[in-house]
Amino acid sequence: MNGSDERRRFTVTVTVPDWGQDHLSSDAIVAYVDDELADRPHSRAARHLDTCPECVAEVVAQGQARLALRSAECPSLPSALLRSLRSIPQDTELADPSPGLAVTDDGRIVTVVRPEKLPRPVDVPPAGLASSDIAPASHGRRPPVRRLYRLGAGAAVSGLAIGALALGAPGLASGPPPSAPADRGVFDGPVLGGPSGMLEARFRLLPAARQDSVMTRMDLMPDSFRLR
Amino acid sequence: MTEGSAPSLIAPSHADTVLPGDGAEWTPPSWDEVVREHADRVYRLAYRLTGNPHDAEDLTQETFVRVFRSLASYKPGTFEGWLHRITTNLFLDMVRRRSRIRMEALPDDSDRIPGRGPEPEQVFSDTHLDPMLQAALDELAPEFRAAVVLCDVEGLSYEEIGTTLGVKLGTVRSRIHRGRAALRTSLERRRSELQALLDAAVPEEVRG
Repeated sequence: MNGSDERRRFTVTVTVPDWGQDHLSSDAIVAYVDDELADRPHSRAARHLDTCPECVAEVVAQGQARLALRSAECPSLPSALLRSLRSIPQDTELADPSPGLAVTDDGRIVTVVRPEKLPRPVDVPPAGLASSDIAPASHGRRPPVRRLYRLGAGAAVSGLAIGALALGAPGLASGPPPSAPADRGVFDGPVLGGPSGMLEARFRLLPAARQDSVMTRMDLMPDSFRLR
Repeated sequence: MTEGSAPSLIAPSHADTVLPGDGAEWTPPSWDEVVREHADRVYRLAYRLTGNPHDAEDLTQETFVRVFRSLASYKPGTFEGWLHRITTNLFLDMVRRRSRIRMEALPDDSDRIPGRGPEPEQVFSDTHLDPMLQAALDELAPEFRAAVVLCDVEGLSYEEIGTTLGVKLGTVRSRIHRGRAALRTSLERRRSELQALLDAAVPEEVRG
């Protein structure tokens, strides 16, 4: 940063002039500042900077902006927001049901494993494929267990600590699923899961193909995050 | 039809549909742990991106709601990258939506012309952050701001930034370089404006 006194004499341009072979490219400058150059390019850049005040000025300019941000104080999380975040499981409906994810009556988020419908590992598709490809065995069926995906109203979890968070896993097939009790205890409860007809309707509103639309999803957000 | 549907909206592409549990040794965190461990950094990122506490809170809340709804697609080891990606994409969506609304509502809108960010006094009252820095940051186009913030606030590598924003490395470099250059220019201009302000001791005469 030994060029800090001279920085005002150099205007930082958005498009780099024709550096030719005499100067570092803007890509090299920024990567040098962020230490993103490989060893040999880094050495070459360093050698060039030994003899080129213009490029040094560029490096200094980048470094100043970088330092300004890195050294800036950041606000701390408001405590009200922290409380709100912690209560998300109570306040949030799972608009699109997460497969194999449920909340037990003691407030734990657990895996729901239905042995007869376990997806085969080889069926795991690459990212972005419709999830129906994952569990073809259950395609088109609507087992009662689905009702548990509705975490609405939060009665079942309110005031309770969220315990272990287990996720749907093929590996659970061999062992007793921790959620097995939940399948009975919660699904049959009056709190979670409304009339199945309503849920069906809601699911239809959220076909997998549309889940990629953030806009669509934003409309499903609670009022607390309505964009203004 | 949604049977087995993993919410894959913004989850990392390489982890989208990998069913969790591959790592048997992994102990799932409780929601409280998730919040405690990540809320600060998400809020910090949201704050730097949006530039004000109100939007930062909304963005943070929305990010965690999204995380909660998409937990099934989470794969151990990618949580932070996942959070960055959700936060940043929600922010960019928010910006796009607002700009569309603003263009419809205010055809002659002129309060966001480059070079005129939020009034320093307003930023000052909103926050204890360096108001000039945040105002300069707010002047950057959202895509540039996101790249710079991910690099310099979050400390992400170029590769991680490229993954987060879905752009190539060259684009990452270019956005950071240009974003920083514009940021520095804006900071210098603001500092000289402030100096002129102090010299003149006439608060209303900030060059507009």
